[in-house]
Amino acid sequence: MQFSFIHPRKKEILSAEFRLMLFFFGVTMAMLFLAYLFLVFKSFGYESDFKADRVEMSRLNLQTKEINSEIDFVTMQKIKADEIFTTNILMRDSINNLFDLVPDKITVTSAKMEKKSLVLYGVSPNKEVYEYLLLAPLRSIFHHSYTTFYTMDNGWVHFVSTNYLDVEDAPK
Amino acid sequence: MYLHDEVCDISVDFEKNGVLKKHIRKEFELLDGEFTPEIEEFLSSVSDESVFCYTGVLNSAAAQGALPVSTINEALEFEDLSSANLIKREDENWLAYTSNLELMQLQKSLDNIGVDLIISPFFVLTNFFSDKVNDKCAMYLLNQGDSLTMGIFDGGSLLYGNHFTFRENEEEEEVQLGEDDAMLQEDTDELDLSMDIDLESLDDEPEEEDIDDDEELEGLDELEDLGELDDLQELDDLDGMDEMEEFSEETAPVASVVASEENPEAELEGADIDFKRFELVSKSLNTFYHDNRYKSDFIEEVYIADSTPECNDFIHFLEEELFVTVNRRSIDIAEVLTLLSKKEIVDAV
Repeated sequence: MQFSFIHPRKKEILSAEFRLMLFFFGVTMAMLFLAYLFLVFKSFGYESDFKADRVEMSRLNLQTKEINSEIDFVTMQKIKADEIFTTNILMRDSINNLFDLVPDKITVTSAKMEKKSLVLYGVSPNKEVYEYLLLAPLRSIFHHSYTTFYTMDNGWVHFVSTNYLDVEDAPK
Repeated sequence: MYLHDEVCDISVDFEKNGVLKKHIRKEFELLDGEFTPEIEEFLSSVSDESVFCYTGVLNSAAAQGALPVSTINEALEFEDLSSANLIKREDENWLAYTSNLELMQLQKSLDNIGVDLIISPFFVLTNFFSDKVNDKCAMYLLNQGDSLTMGIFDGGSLLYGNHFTFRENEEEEEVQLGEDDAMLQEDTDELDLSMDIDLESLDDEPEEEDIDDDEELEGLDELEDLGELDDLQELDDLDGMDEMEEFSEETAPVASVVASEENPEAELEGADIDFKRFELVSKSLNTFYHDNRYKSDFIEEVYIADSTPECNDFIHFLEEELFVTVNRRSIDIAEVLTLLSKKEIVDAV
């Protein structure tokens, strides 16, 4: 103090009411800013999660496709297996039928069974036995039957029977 | 803002970066010592111009003074300042004091407008006579009409300081003096002795002035007989009159007798007040001369900063009774307060 017994009152550009209003305004703005930061942070988190989920989804889609391919492959294999199984059963039954078809007097030495054809090699006491006992049932099964005979030294005949089915009737 | 005699004298300076932009000067009448709505409206309009608006007033407390000491411990030798507020400027070896109670009362009375600075009249005095106080020993008076501030300075150092407040009746005045200065009260008890000593020290003066103190007091109290003042008018060959002319101040008229012819009653009241002023100054001067606690020196010159229209009788008494050269300057206290307030604010902010 140079000349005065009292100190001058403190002068402030902003009044107390205005400073109070500014304080509350500042607090409000700070809260809004914090809320904004929270939302930005959360959005960033959600975006990161979304990207990760998209990558995971792509991976899972790819994996699903692979699995579906495998399923298709397995299904096809199963179908094929079923077909083979069915074919085998049919072949077994055909073979059983074939061997049931062959009478005791005729001996089949070899047989070649294909889808549309059956070639039998065997020995028969004579032609008549073959024609009556074996050729008749073969003709009932196949559309075309051709037989070649070779006479053996002991009087028996060696035969080669070639039998064909038409394409329409061939088993699939 | 200067409050005196039911008048509120306001001086406003608008400054920006130390440059004066606008100056307003207004004078309002107070209503029973209180601010009128007109004053409050004016102050409000001024304070609306800037947030940094500071209001300074002159300390009008009766219990105030100045002491030629630098520390409180030294001041205790003169006064009990336990309930006083002090100002000690760094570049000065004296301090100004005032009563805390009156300071608070003044602040409370100005509470409705708010006051920032309460300036001691001693600083108004030293600032107003800043071109003189650093010279040789002289007495400086600030006459506010209802109060008188007295300081004796020698080379810029205060040797003696006192402040007197006048009231409408003498009884109240005595109370004020009792509160004001204990030393002064002791002097009042020894009034006769003081005046005798005063006169003894002036033995080399003309015989017509070598009168008994009681006779002098009676004669001055009975101023209805203005013939005595005519005698005083003849004493114009005092020492130092030539020096007075060297200053630009208005030299004191010899007496106000001529004016009294137009309004005798008013002049008598003025003379009575002027005599009271003279009496108090005389007593204080006696204390200054004879109290060992003060470093006394002979006073040859008196400088009066006068805010009243005139105090011719007071000047006349000083010249005739104390044989000093009196220089009077009219002071615009509101302007000086504005100047000091600006200096204070520059230092404080």
